[in-house]
Amino acid sequence: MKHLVIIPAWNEADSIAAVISDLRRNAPGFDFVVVNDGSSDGTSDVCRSLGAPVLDLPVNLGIGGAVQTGYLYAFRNGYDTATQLDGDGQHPAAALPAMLELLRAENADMVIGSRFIDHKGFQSQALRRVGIGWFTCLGKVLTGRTITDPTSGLRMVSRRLIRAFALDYPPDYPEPESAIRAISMDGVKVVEIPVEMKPRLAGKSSISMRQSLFYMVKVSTAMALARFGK
Amino acid sequence: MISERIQIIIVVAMCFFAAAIVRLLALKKMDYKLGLAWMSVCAAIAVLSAEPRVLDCVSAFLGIASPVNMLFFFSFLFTTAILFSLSRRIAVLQSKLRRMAQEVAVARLQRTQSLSPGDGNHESPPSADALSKESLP
Repeated sequence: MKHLVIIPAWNEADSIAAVISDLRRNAPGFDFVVVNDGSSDGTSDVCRSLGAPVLDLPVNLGIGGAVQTGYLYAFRNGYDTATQLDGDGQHPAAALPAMLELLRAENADMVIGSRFIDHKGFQSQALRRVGIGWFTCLGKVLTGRTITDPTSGLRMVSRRLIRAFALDYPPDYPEPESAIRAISMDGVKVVEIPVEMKPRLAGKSSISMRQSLFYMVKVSTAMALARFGK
Repeated sequence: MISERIQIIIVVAMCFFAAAIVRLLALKKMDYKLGLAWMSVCAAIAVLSAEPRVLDCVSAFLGIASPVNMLFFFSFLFTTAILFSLSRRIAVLQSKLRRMAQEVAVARLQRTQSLSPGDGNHESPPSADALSKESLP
């Protein structure tokens, strides 16, 4: 079986080398590809100097578009699983084997790495935790399922969801909406696994405080449409 | 009651506007669907301005006291409809652009990998048949 790790990266030149090193050391059985989302700081050059494969997007598409590119690549190359892992160093590569084991054991289609099961490691800023709590409650209301970390970017999916996401993936703020969409699909099983995340090594988040209100409204609307829209 | 001066101004303005649209169509700087929609807006405004009786009848039927107000009201409706149509088209174009950018990135990497097969991730690149067999719509 073939397993791909998708690393979306926008101006992560200062942290991407550590992420690649972490993957090679702690998840050697996984292929990986960096999706360079129109970086201007030499992220792509850093990756190439390390011999890492890079999908260079000709224009910046945002996190959703970048990750979807990774799913497209995974689908076209026949991968059995695809794992999204952020390029900012927050996600531990050591969690990947355990996620794969859980995916197989539970016959699941999506395994989400959650910060809020064991509450270990970096727990995100207080204001973001409020937002995450809101999305967790909304997800529970919409689906009856409790996803403790709906905004987690560390998630592994099966080939069925690789195809679905390669076809259609939210272009911005994609994590909560894509989780709801997966739960709403017939026969798709979504599970969570506790992981210990770290603060980002360098760079800055793509979501600013100013965008937070739009983010809350947009994601909430999108989650509701993902549940009932099809 | 619309004054004759304003009628003439509006009709002349619509003629210039229509000529500008025709020029853009000829230069392929506007597509026909939108161009013809704008031409119909021009024609409607010009007709309503040139023939005040039509304007008076319609505005009386709709209960609008001033025919000029009705003229602006219809112009606003047409413009809103075109803006709504543009919003939908932009969303479709965004989606197509996203897909094109993604395909370019994937094609670039696969071309690089086929030129240097020993990059550690793949034994050999998939054949073109394998790629097109399960191609996405």
